Amino acid sequence: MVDYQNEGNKATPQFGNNDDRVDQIASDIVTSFMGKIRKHPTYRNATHTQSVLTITSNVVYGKATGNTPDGRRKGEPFGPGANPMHGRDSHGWLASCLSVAKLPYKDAQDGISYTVSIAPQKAHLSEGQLLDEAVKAFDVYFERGGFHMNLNVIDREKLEDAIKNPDKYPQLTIRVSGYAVNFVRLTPEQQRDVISRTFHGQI
Amino acid sequence: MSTVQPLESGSRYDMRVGISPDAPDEDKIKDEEGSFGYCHSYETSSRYDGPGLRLVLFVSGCLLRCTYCHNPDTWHLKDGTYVSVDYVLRRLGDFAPALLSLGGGLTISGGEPMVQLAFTRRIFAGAKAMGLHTAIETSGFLGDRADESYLAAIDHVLLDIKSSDPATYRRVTGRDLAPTLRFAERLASLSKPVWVRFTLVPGATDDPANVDGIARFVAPMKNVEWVEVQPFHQMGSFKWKAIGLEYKHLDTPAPSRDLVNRVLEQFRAAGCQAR
Repeated sequence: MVDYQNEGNKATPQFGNNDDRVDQIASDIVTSFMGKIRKHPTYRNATHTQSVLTITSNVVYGKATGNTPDGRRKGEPFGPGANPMHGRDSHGWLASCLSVAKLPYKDAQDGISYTVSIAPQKAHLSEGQLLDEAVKAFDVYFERGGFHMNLNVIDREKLEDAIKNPDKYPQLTIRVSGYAVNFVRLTPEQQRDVISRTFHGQI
Repeated sequence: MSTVQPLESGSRYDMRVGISPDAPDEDKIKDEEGSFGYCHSYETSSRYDGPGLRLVLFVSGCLLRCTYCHNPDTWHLKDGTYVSVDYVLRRLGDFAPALLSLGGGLTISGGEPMVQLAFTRRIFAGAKAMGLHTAIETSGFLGDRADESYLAAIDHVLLDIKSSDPATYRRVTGRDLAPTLRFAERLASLSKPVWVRFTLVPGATDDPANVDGIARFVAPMKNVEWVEVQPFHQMGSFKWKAIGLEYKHLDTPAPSRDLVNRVLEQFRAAGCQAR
């Protein structure tokens, strides 16, 4: 069993908080990996691409991976797609999406999957105003280079209730990572993974 | 001397204590320079702390001891992280372009921003230099400290008027009401945009006479755009237990929909826009 001890202070920057010190590392990994792929000749001169995407494999890969230096424990799922790790984007939706928007699409032309869950809070806005504000917010993400956003507007309590009482929610559909699924049809581990993802208060 | 650290990891809801044990007491701080300060946390996408989508910096230190406070870990500078103002402005700069596109801004909350007047003064000035809209969330208790130039760098004030009755105010906050009322009148004379905040705590602040008193005080003030009624909740109660403080509101329920509506109607009947 291998483990890591963090000798730095607790304030090590985490991806998902719009901090270039760590976001730059994420971008560099995408670019350098793509560089390595491009060195190989392709069948019929196809264009090399990669995607930053997991579907549900973040759960399976996590099961097969031991402790990681960031503090993630053996067996725990990775974040899905390009998402910051569960709970580490702890300063709000804007910080989270500005980090993800930095990933260079030109080196991941098969797609960069970003799934966001937001609690449906109105904050004194009418439906129409909420929609306008949300569109403005998404525009900022896409203008900054964001490629894709999977949006769930749902609160964690509803998902927890759906696990306990699946019959109440036969049609509950959520976006996982690049596709939508009937929540009560996921495996318990996949459901726990979805619930443990960050839920942003508002957008 | 406290250790300067970056303010990372963790949301406004997390509890943080004992990070800067060498910090002065919040009523003894004597910082003329404002190059450093103590902060609790920050949030980048709030719609509840002023107009638009806002970045909110929660500073440490407060002189009030509200019985229903949901962030008692913001009372003492010792529980905050000691950061430099340059660091705060650098991080603010990371978000400024997006905030400007979204028509949002910076809100300094806490804790009580005016406990660290020099520090927050510099942050407001830096935010204005970036072209950002600025707001402050305050109880107004230290309003006498806010000089002309401090207020000039603040576009919007979210003023917490916790009670209109001096005895209730003292019972609920441990402090005097008069400075807050004085500050409110000063903001009215300056036509500074204000949203008044009222925390509705069943059994403590919900007395109709108490609410009426605030409503009648605020209604003639043309600079007060909204009165926002904030229902009591128990989300911070775990912090009281964790810190070892005596929590008087274990059995206090969240106000019912009817109670909230009654209070909203009281404000509206007096001539306030309330929500």
